[in-house]
Amino acid sequence: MLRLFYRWLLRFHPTRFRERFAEEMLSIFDHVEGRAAAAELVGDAFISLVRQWIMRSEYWEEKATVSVPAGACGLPVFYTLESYKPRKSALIEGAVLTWIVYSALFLAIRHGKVHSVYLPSLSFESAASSEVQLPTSTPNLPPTQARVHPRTQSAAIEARANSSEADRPSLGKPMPSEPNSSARVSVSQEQARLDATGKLGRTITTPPLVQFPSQSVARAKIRKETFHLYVGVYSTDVPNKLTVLVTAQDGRLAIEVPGEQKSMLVHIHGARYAFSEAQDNWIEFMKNGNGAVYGLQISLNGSESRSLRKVN
Amino acid sequence: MKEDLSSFLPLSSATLHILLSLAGDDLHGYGIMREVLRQSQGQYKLGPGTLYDNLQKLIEERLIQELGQRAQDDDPRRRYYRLTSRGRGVLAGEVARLERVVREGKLRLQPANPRRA
Repeated sequence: MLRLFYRWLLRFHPTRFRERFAEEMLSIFDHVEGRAAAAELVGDAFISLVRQWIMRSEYWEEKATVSVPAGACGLPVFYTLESYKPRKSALIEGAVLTWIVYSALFLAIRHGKVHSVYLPSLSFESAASSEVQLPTSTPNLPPTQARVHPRTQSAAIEARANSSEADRPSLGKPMPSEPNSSARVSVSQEQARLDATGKLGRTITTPPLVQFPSQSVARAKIRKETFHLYVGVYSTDVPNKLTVLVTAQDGRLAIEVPGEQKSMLVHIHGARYAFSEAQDNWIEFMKNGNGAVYGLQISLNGSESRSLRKVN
Repeated sequence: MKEDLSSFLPLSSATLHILLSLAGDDLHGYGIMREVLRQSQGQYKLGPGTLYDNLQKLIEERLIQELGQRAQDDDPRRRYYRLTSRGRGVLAGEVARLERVVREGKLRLQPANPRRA
């Protein structure tokens, strides 16, 4: 019985060791006398099994033979390095390690806090200017084809063309709060140029601005008259009463939320504004069919709620 | 040109005993185990697992060589091993090192001479 177990243990040794020494080890087992000595050898074989698999990986496989070509006078003309073949276990360990590293990297990227990207600021202060909504869409959407007022369209095109290198979007670089003067457009000059080239009034296909998820902000200065549509007190009734005060300050909208610091609002698109300090937080004003604001939707730290306008 | 064998030193107990047992005669595995037991006066018992693990390493390092089967009436599963000249050089180096250790040990363990007042 012990001999069978001893043989079984030898069978599980690495191939190279087993082929070379197993029979000889078994012959030693056959030569020892006494059950205690045999049991001792079984213990020794078990230790040997663990040692060979854990500590002797370099002896698992036969070494590749090195061929050295001989020259004319019998001397080798060059030496070849031994063909290296990594162990299977090394390949498996490498694969597991790579998977762990990449998983950690992706998790770090996914849950990383700092990945804000800003687009350049644009300002339109001409007589013909109105509330300019820059076309924004997700990168996957097709270009937006729209008939727009030629003056507005040309202003946007010119503003983009004139934006200096410093205004280009860059990672981690906040855009200046004041618009670049080069972005200001003389509409009359632009109209004259378009008249000369015969482009006035033609349908223009505009490529979408690249918008990065939830963080990118294409800011356009809003007319002060528009602010009065939004200024007021908004509150929710149930389940947790939340009162929000929207005010106009220095030509910009501001918001006060209980328990939060007063924050300036940054226009994102339509009636949606982001908190200037925490741009993951945003509000969107809700309008009825007549364009009157009757409430707002607020997203604070990922939780959204709706508030109705109480006081103008 | 004489090869520098100092990189093999110091030897482990098992390696030293195996090389020492093969210094006198070619032996098979079981013979090495018995010879080691005799040399150490029963104090160092080498198991087959440890023995063949060391033999594998010593063959790779060309300190011993395998001779194969020798006697006709012997167990056909037995193989004999012989100390190479390289192995003999390593063993000589280890013995010399141990001699220095023994000499140093004896010096240190001598009773200190009484100091003059």
